[in-house]
Amino acid sequence: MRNKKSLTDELFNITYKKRIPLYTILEITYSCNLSCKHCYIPNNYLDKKNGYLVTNEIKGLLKEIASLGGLYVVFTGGEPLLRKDIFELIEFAKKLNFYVILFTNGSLINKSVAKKLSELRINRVEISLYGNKEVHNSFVGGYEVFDKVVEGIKFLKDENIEVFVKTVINKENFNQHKFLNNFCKKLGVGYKFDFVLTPKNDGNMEPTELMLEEKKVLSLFREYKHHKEKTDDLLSRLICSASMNVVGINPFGELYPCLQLPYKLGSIKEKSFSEIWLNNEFFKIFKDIERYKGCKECELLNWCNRCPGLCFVESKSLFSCSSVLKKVAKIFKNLS
Amino acid sequence: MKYKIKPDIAYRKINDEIFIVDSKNSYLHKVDSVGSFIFENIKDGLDEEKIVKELVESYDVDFEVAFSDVKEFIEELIKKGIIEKDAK
Repeated sequence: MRNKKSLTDELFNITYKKRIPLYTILEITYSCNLSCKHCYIPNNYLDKKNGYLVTNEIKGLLKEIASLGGLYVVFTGGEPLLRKDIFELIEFAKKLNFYVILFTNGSLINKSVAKKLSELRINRVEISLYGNKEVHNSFVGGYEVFDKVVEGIKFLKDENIEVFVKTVINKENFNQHKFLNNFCKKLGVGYKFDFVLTPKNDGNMEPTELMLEEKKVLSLFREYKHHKEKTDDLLSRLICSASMNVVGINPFGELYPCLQLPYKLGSIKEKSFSEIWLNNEFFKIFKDIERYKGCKECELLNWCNRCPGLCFVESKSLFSCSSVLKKVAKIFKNLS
Repeated sequence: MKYKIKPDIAYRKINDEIFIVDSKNSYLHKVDSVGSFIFENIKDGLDEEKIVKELVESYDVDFEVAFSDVKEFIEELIKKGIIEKDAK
């Protein structure tokens, strides 16, 4: 039995080559009790509740994904804890031996929710936090939830649940990075940050306006010694794992190569997951390296974390460029 | 003696091998095909003695070899926090 970091690569490579849906991101609702400024879900999606997958449909989906080799499942939203069947779904996923992760804003986690999640043996909870009380509450739309979120994290810790705090450092919380880092250390939870903001799924670029200026990103990365590893493999630079071993599913049961890539592969209301997953030819188009002409000639190629989702959302083409990616690549170039 | 897989463990069989994620630190483990055979028998509720018997029959190995393989593998799984004694 081996236990090495290389195992992660091995599992990734096997599932990538065989197109096994190793990692499923399941949006189970668009409803949310908060209104975060950078949210990628278009505002008019929030009220669409008719046609959401019902409990048994999600269970059937999980069963199929498990039988195809899926190991990790993320329940996300909206706010997944707003769904009344969330515990039933987690319990079902655990019985299928999935590694279950919950993405939540944390504001609905009280003592009994934490206890229930622990009883269900959830593997990890990831919570979004954007700064101190004033900054966080303002960023999530003016709701007074900071104290509840922190209390929720403590309840989860009391139940020995693995917790990660996630944030996007942006124009409104740049000065909060140190606070968050120290705060998480004090709480004894993991902390991860990003600075990339994506457009809404309908192409609305508004969230990206919050992205930090290049100078600030550079200072952030220099301080925390982040760097981007260079690789000479052009294919790996251009092609991500969307539709290879990653799949995104929205509350209506529509399948996407990734939730960041709103290119519909099919709907499980019309066909089974396996039928859509095994027969879709999206990955063939996607992997056709000849189509990435612009990228091959781009001076920023070596520093670009190419995301077809961002390209698609911005320009409706998988093979075009993205202004956000270009900005990020320039930053990495300057860092190198 | 019977063992059971801890409820917080995640695992999946891929290509005759089982990938296991432990709950302590989310580490990934991989067991080969013989290990997978033993692991699946533990999952199905067989006791140590029956697993040895199954291994002898399925893999055409001596009892002593099978006995020591199963014992060693079970000890390793316990050490890694993947299985525990089943009190039932």
